[in-house]
Amino acid sequence: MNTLLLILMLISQGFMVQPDRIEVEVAGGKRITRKLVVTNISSDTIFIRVHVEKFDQDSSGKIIFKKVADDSTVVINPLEFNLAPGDNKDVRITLSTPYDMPNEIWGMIIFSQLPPPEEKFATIRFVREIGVPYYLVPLGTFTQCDIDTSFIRHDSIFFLVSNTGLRHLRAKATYKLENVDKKEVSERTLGSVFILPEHSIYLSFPIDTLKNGKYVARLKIDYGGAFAIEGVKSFVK
Amino acid sequence: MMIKKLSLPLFILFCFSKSWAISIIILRIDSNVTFDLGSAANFPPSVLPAYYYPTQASGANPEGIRITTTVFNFFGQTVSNVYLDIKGGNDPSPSVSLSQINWTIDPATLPPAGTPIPPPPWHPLTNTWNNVAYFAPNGIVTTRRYSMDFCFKLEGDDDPTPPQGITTTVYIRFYGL
Repeated sequence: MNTLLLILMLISQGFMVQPDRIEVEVAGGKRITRKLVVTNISSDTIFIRVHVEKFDQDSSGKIIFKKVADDSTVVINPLEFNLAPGDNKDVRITLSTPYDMPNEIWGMIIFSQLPPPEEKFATIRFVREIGVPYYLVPLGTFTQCDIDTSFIRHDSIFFLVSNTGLRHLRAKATYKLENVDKKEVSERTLGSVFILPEHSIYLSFPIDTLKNGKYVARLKIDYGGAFAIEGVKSFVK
Repeated sequence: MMIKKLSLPLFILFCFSKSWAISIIILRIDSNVTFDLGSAANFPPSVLPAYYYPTQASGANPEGIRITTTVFNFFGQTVSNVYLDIKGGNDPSPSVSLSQINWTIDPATLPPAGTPIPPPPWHPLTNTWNNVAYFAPNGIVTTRRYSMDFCFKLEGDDDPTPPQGITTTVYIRFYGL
């Protein structure tokens, strides 16, 4: 790890946090502690402040952060500290679950590198922040996904993808468009799609540049279940 | 002897299992940004609103800053996509609002003087989070570098800047899900 740190100090200035995510399957009424390591990879001493925020997801998939005044489920120690160049600090995160926990509990630990005092005359001072999400997944829950509906609006085709399970979902999505007349097929891999529990997001694909003809659009979602699911929409352009 | 024969494959299996995954997330911003209009070209302007690039910024990007994001994933990917978001803080002064500072990561020219609202790809700073970019980490090391430009919109009712200057804080957040 020291060699890695040396390489990072050569190529970069800033700070780093590991790991990038906490995800634990846990029963209700439990308390677990995880350690996050913050390392200063810049040539100056930095000041770090740590806090927790909740987040939600809108129907476009955008993450919306919400500040929380007091979250008794998360205890962070320490909440702020200085780090000399090359130094690292263990930050302990203790997460508690309520006795009755039917759904997943999630949030994000935010590490903020505050601007140094000598920047006080700059017009824009930057606070650099790294977020580490945590997910407390109820034992015995499994992923569930559905493609509810598809429609065409404003020269795009929309699929509504729903996470119907009680835990968050990371799925691989593939979009395939077939021109029925010309037997031409184009395929596009979307990579990873993230959906919070009991949330739905719209995935949209432009069709305004297509030539006239009959088309079949297929969205395949592989969410790690027994089989992948597929949404199909036929349309005439 | 059997233990020795088994140990290497077991070690390799252990290294590549999720339980051994090491993931690191890194954010670097190389500079702050200053608009000292007294030293800017075309000041004072003949037409308002007038637009100015920073007078002091990154050595790698004179119009703003360089943001470097890196995700290390050893022995198994942990997060899916990673996101880079931006949010402004306070208004720089009672007469200068946050939205007079605009940003872009796409190639753009300075809006001509007299343009009431900077056209896309310029975005005004707001005090809510806006996504700048996102990507899916791929392989052991994924690095993305962004040149983020800033421009200041000078309006007719802006009070003269006090000698100590005016300051705002901009939050740049990098996270995975």
